[in-house]
Amino acid sequence: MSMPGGLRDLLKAISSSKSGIIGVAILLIITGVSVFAIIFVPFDVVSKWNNPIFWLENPRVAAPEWVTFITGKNIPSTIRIPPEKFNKYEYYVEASGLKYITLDARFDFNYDDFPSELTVILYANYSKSRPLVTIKLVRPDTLEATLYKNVIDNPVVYFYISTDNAIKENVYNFLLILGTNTNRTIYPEKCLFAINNENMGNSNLAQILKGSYRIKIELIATDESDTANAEFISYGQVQGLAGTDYKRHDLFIGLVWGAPVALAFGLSAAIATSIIQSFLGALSAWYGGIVDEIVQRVTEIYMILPFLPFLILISLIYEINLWVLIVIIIALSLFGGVTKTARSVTFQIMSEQYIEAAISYGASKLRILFLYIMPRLLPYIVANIVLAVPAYVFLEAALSVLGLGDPLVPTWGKIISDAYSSGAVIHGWWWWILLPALLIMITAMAFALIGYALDKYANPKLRER
Amino acid sequence: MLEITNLKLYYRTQRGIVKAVDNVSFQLNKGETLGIVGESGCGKSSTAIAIMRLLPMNIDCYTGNVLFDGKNLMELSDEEFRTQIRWRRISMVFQGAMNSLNPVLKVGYQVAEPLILHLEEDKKDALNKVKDFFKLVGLPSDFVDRYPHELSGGMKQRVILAMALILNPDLVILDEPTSALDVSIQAQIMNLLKRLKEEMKISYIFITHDVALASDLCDRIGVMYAGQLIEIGPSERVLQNPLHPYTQKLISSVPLLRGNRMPGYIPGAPPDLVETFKGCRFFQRCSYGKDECEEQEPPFIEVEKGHNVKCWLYSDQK
Amino acid sequence: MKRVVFLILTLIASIYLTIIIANAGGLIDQIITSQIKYDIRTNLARTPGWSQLPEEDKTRILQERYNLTIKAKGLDKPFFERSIIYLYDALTLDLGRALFLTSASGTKQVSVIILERLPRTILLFTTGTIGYSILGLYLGLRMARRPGSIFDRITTMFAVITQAIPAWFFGILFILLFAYQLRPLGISIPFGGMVSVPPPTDPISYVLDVMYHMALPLFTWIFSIFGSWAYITRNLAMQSSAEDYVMAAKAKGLSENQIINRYILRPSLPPIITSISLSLISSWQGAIITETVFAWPGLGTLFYQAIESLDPPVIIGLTVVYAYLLVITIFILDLVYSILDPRIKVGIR
Repeated sequence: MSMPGGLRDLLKAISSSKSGIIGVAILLIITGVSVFAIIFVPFDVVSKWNNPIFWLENPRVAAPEWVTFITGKNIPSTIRIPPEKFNKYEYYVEASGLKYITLDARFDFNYDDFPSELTVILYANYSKSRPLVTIKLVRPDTLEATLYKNVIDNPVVYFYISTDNAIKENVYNFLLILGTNTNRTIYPEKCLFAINNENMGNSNLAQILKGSYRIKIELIATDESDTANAEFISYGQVQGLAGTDYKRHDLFIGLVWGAPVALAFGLSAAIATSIIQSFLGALSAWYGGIVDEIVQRVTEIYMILPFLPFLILISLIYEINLWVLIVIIIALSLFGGVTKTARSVTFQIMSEQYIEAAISYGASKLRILFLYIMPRLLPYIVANIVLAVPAYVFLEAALSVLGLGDPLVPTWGKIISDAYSSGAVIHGWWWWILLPALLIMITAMAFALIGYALDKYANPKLRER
Repeated sequence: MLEITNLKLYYRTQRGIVKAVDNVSFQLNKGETLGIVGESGCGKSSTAIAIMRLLPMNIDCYTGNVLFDGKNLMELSDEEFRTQIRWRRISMVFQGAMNSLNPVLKVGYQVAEPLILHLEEDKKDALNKVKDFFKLVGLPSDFVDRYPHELSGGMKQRVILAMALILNPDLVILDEPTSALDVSIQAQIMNLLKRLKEEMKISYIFITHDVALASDLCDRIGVMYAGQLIEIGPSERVLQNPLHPYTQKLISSVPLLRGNRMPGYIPGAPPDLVETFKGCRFFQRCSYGKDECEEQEPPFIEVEKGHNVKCWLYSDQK
Repeated sequence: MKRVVFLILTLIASIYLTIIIANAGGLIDQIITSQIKYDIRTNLARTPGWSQLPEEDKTRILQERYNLTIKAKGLDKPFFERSIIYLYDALTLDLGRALFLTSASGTKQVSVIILERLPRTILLFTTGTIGYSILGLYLGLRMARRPGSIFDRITTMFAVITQAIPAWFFGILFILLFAYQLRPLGISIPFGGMVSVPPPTDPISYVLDVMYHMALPLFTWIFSIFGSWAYITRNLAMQSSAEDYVMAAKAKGLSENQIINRYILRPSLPPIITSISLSLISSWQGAIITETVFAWPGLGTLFYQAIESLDPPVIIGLTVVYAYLLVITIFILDLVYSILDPRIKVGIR
């Protein structure tokens, strides 16, 4: 079936205006990103996004990697030494019954700035008693810092060098021995990598010591079969194309995934409300009489209802997810401004000859409504959908900012609200807010531009009734 | 009183330059009524607009001489024109009076506006004067407090007339003042105009497509075609002895109340004013076209006293 | 008159809907009953000899009183009747007691909490509305004077883009830009709250301080909305300019300014008001988020706080108040419309 003439006019209007073309171009890019997201990004995003283990290898609030190009400084990326890369030496002393395991790895650190965090992960297999573990960092200037020397409690241990108090105590002692001034508050990831001078303990003035580092983990175990593996992560300050957030999420994945969610959410809400409202408006005009009166009054009531407070009320009392949200939004928007305009347009359509002709050859009212009137309204409906999508995308974002909305799905709005409430503005983690904001804005602009090209369909010039 | 020479008004449109008023010249004496007749689109309204300098944004050419009491109006600046001439010396009644009134202001105020504006009277005095004028045009004086939507078409027309006359101008241009009204109201308005002409000694330029109507009120009639004035002369002479073939056809197309004559018609359609013309513009539809009609634009020739025509047919009478 | 009745009906419908939604989970019942229990307990605690009573007696008396009160207030009746009672309470703004939040004056009464914040919201909202409407009208008229000019086209594009983006979003961006990025430059624009901490004591500094804090939210608000006003004004003014009475006014010798004000602007105002009424309603609701973003201590931030502390009575109360606000806004708009358009008769003549 060929496209109804009205739609063809719409397409022509879009393609003949500059803003329309730009809008469609942007929209195509975003759709492309959405398709990319659905195909290439792990589709179980929702559960993975909220699972911290999945993101462990990322630094917290790291800027995007391309910042290095802009600043010119060589900002550190994450260095991860997996278990395979560790050199392992084991020897068992029969006489004492002790097994000595040494895990040794070397890495070069030539960046201009300090790591953001340091973590050692130890995987130990022991059968009888727990081994004694010593973790040392050997610096390019041959100084050795003992970070940890104790018996471990579990087979898998995460040593958070930057935050663990016991380790920090050891680092503090390391500094004292070296004789540098320091106060009690130290940042291990800084001073361990700082040049040995009087500023070593000062996180603001310390200078980076570039060169070859070694991380040494020594275990003293009690059984011949005992063994161990280790992993070392020096978290960088930049990560990925879009940086990371406070929960170490790679924002690129979140942003890319936000595209199809935003489009799906906005489009479904916009399509549903536009069609329903237009249909009711047409119905009201076509059947007239008491139906018209009722629909008009109900519409006016609907338009004065406090939509957002209702939404907030419902979201607060009943836990909702994204799709239930759409249903509720639609329920609260069954009648609206579109109903009124669709009604006026229908009146104009009704006065045309072929409607009279259809009535005269006996077509039922319902049939005429669907076969003749609704198709004529199609351009208006489509133009309205285009203009309504950004509003719904922002509505979802607004709910996220308020702390409502779906807590699981990473939408652009949720990312922005997380950023805002984590104080990204104050701490200067601009990428966390700016990148999703830009994406929402561009999407909204795309629809607005297309909507502008369709202006005469969206706001039909109506005669005063 | 009014002498117009070589008035030109061209519009710039998407299709090209529309020569709405192309070299129009005529005179009007004090107290005289001139009717300008012609089909729609022949440039009658544009002439009025040109005289009143109500130029739209897409003007291409606006030249000529408009001598009013000896002074050339074209030489005045816009501000001078607005404060000295507009409405005080020349006023206008527009086509479609229904829409000439601002729907959110009371009609009394709108009629009083020129008084307050140009003569700097205060509102109360002005409104009293308006009441007098309302009586003059046959409206009850308490209508000053009404809004336009509270009046009928005929009443609105009277208001518009009162508004046009309020400053006692020398010249009032009326553009199809009755075409939107039904015949009985039309008659009333025409009588009113005649009465006012007697009482106030105003000059009118009466623009219409209805020749019969023009002849009723006007001393002289001018006929326009395709942006040009093609015939002008005393009303009875133009009616009884139409010289231009177009005028002849125009007159004969008026149905007679009595008699069996079939109304004539003019074959073809008026030309598109975007075209450039060579020769006489009526040539295509003229039954008497000669070679020179096609080649050269005919000059204005005085055939009788005060009766001029722009046609090659009378070239031997120069 | 008919309109007023209709608006009141709308108000009742909104509030009733609120009640039904809120009480679908029995929430309002809970709120009311816990309030009754609280009232009874406090009253009894004041009676002499209460503390000496043994536990079982206390519990028994409490229960008796409670049952009596429930019966007296008619709260043991079926849901429909209860909802009417709640409706009446809500209409008279008897909104119960908050769970966690307190007003500045120390009471937990929801109506007081809300009414405390209301003036601040009104201050910001009305100032902003007046600001962008005047700016929008002025610019729209300038645009209509020279349609197609560069000024017209740029402003139109600006309007089209800002129309799609809500004010609160610009708020976040502006906070990022102005409050943060400009700080290294030494320019410190406050980006939150209404007054500095501690607030200045003398009235003049206080007012200045409020204005200082109002600057960025106000700017954001005006920035995001004036564009669409200008565009609507422009279109309607252009339609008006094409009307015959404008030409007639020009013929009468009115100056350009007089024509613009009396013959273009005035007749356009009624349809502008109708176009605007819908956006004013969404403006009120957008204000919720904008206030939250700027931590402006009005109703919006109250919403946010109530959400954070999971305080349903406050949310329900706020919804009721918002229903009132919207109805009142529409009522005022209708009045303004009838004043501006003589074709509409004010029903109460």
